Amino acid sequence: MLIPESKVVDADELLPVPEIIGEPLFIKIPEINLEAAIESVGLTETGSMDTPKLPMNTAWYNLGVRPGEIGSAVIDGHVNWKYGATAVFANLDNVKVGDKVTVEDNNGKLIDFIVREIRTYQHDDDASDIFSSSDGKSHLNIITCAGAWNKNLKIYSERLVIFTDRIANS
Amino acid sequence: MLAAVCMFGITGLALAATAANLATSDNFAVLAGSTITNTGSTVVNGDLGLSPGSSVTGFPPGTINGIQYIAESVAAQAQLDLVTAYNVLVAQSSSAMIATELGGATVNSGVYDSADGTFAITGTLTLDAQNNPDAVFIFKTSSTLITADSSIVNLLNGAQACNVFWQVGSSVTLGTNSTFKGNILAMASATITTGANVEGRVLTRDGAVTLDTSTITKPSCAVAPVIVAPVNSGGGAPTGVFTPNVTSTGTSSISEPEIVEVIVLSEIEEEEEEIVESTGPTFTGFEDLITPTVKISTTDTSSPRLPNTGFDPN
Repeated sequence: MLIPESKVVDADELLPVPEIIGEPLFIKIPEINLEAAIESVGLTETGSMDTPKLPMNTAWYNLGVRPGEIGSAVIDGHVNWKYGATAVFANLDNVKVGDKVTVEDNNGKLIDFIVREIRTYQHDDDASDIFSSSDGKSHLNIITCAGAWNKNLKIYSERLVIFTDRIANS
Repeated sequence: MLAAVCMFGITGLALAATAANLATSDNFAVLAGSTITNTGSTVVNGDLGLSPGSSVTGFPPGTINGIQYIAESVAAQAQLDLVTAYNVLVAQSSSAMIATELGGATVNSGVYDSADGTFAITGTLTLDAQNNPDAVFIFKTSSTLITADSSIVNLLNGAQACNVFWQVGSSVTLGTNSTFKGNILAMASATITTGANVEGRVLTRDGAVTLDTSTITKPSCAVAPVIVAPVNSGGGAPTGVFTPNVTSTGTSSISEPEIVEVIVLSEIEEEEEEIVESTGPTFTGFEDLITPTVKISTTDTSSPRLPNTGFDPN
């Protein structure tokens, strides 16, 4: 009887299949009943991350990594809209550490994150620890306005930032 | 005296006329050496000083909106500083020799003297700064400055009285109901006749100042403009060339531009709210105050600044 030869392959010859992560399309935060579309934005002329054009959309910083990739992806959204109207992140301040955030990419892939930390920044604080990380892990950080409306500067005084870490899909 | 009937422009060589630093005499609207004599409801807006003389008469009915320093050390120091400033003006070479009669003329920034060492104004003299609020105009006479009744010195295109200097080797007479601009630094006396209105200073070294129902208002120079450009507050403005809107509140000190952190003030457009305005140093040093181009280089381009994700809740 002929026994077919089998080939032993060294482990390091096996190339890992790279995970394909598409551009983010939707974000869900079930704890606050949030489901929203994600626009793709860059920088404003003044060097700030840009914001979504529609009040009920969020926006992903397309000069950074995609949610799910190694590094810090960033998504922002408005806390309110003109003339007192509401906006997508009106209730973002109800998010708690441990809540789950899910992003769906343009391939239908679902990527889960868990809230690790919630911090408030002043509007002109250095934001480098929101937009970049070097721990080799995948993070998604979510920003909206907080604090008081400053009539002179015409901006909110603070930013609410939710730091999340990617977890295995559940 | 011939009445000038036509306008003519004098451009001169535009050697950089340099403002004289008045030092402590800057505070004074009127400063004299021997006496100050007033009749009528004169108003002096600024300090009034006399040194080494001690006789000031006519206040009231005249009014001084400022402090009087008579025969004491502040006025004495101001006189010393006046001498220094006077000599600085004398030392500046003229960029052009122009006609004695300044009436009807339009003059740009420069240092001017006249063939016979006197200046006169019948009608209107226009000083055109050509949109440079730092433009300096210096008129030097070895002898007299005499302006006619109802004559006018007119400031055009950003010219400021604080930057106009009349260095007069002997005495000054301003005509009745005349309008005069600039700092008079005279060796001898100044006679400001009835109803004359001076935006400037009347500073005489040795002689008297005589006032009659006139108004002398010490000029202020507008301050440096706030030049606006994107701010780099650690978030990292992108490298690039911006043409920001300028909110100008006056002159700047023109020198080699130096890039520092500045403020951005952008217009609120219908859909955008990328307004970033915060405190920061004021930028000075642009030649062109109308639409400066600011190039910002930053060593920290690693991360953007926080987004503007909210609207006026009212």
